[in-house]
Amino acid sequence: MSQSNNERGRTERWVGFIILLCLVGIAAGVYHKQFSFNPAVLVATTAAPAPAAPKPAAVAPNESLPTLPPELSAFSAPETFTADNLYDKVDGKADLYLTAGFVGLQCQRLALKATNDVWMEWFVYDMGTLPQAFSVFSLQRRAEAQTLDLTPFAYQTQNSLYFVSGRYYVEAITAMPTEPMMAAMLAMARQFVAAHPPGAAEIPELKLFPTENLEAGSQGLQIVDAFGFDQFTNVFTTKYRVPNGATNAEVLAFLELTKTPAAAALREAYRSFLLANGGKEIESQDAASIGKPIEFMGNIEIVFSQDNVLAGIHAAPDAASAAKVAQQLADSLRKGKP
Amino acid sequence: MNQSNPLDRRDFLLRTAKAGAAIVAAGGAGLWLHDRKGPSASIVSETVSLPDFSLASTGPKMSIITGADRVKTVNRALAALGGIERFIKSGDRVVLKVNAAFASPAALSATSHPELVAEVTRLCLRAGAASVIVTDNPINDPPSCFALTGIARAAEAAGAKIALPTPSSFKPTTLADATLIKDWPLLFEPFHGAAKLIGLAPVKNHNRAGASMTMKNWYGLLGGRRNIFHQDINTIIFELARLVRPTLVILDGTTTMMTNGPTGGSLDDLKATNMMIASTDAVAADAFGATLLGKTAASLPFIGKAAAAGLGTADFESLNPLRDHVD
Repeated sequence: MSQSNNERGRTERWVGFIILLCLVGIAAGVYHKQFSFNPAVLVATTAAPAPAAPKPAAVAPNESLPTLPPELSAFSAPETFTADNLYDKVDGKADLYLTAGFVGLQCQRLALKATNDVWMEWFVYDMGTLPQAFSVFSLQRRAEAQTLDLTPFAYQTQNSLYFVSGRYYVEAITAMPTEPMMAAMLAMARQFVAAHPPGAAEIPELKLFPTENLEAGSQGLQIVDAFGFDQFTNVFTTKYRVPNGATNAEVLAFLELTKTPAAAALREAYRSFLLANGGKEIESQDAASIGKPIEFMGNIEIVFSQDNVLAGIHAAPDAASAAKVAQQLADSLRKGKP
Repeated sequence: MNQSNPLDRRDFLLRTAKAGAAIVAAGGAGLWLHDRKGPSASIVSETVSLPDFSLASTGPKMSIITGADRVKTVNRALAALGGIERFIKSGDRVVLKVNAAFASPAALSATSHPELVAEVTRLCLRAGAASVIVTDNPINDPPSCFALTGIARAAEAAGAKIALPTPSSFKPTTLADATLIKDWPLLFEPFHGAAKLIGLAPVKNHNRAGASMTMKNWYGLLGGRRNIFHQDINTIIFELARLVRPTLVILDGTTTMMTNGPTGGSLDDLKATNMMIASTDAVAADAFGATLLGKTAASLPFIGKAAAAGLGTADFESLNPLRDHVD
């Protein structure tokens, strides 16, 4: 009896100890959680503050930037932005970066020493990875841009230059594109690339696209919601100019790498999405081996899957051009087999 | 406790008393720590609302002037509506709500053009305005924005005063039946004693809203962490159009930011569209502005919402806009 009571007492002590341990765990969890409160709740439950006075730069001048070329000097203190306050710098464009994996932004205004009133602004977006940096680069690419031999993804316009170097997407913008300023801008860009080498700046998915009729500089990556379809993630795109009578038809080809069964499921989901939103299947001998094209909002869509790749044509002007590029893409995928 | 004996009456009562005391202590502590009011917005100051600055006497009117010279086109646009004197009376205190959102030079067209701000200031003062206040709550640092856009220098040279936002410039406002504008800080101080309000906005592509024009321009009157409204951008623009009833809006389509808005950056993002629009109907002005961006009013939901609420018409042609050209 006495032994039985002793055993029971020991069991009770252990049970009590475990319960206390659980309570301590819960208390620790509550304590930890209060430091990571849902920001939406915070916004809703605290008085919205009026704008604060400008904060001093968090980073000492030039600490986050490559050595300035001799012709440039700081025109303002460097600024740093995180995902929480990127909006404070780029307003409505913040979503473009945030949905692509934005990590941080460092920027600074720099002036030509010779004049001190001719200035540019230098933006370094840390996008976390090369494909994410490429995504924001490609989504903002200016049509009439001139390719630069800086990195595989670089171009300039009459007053600005844009490039990807590894995980960084860089913009340099001036409103006063004098020759000395544009030269200084390019020198700064070269110094940045030297300080942050792009490494193996290759994106394998881009090599899966066929090269015939490809429009140079047209390749892109949409990380979310490509073509308004929320199940698409990391959709690579390329434009083609297909001879069509006296003119060229502009055709956009796309692909997304996924797991083998998921590619077929995604194909069906996208087809259903198009058909549910007014699309109509049309007959086309040209595309017979790939899949029935869908006429959607006056344009032609083709979607097919091949092993682990979901691919297709988006918003082509006619079925024949769409089918031609789709067939080339299917052939290229067979040869390239990711 | 004697382990060899079962629980006796005395032990039972003692244990019960201890358990009861523990429960009472825990309950008391909970009661003591309980916040009966719960979290609140802790708005202590009185809410405010903007007066209706629109003029019933003018009715909905619109003018569309083509030309590359902003000074000439805005003069002609206002003359076509009956002259600035029709809107500004002697002694009026006039607020010009500009777009100074970014510390970006005028040449990049991300903000209201300083030449336009200066000319409208001059016209108001010439019409007898007692004072002209130029204001905005920019996205970037306010002094840098007003300085680097050239707006501060041009406006002050023309006789206006710049009202930079400070924490005391904001008062909470609530829009009746609104879903977003509730106890939200509004840039109110520049409106003290104001009789007229003119909005001056450029035509820009906007990554989130599709377009930034005269109605989106009122976004710059909001304080606080207004970026959360970007999640429902069409509703916030619509509610701002309800909240702010201007005397007049001037939509500057001399240069249109066609892509990569609202910040732009490259001159390649811009197109010389050479249009100046003046209107008492901001919905109509924006509906026309949409065409400069190659869009339709129907493709911009905030225009449809504003029109459906009776804030103006998306069918700008129904206003029989006065069209002219100046070289």
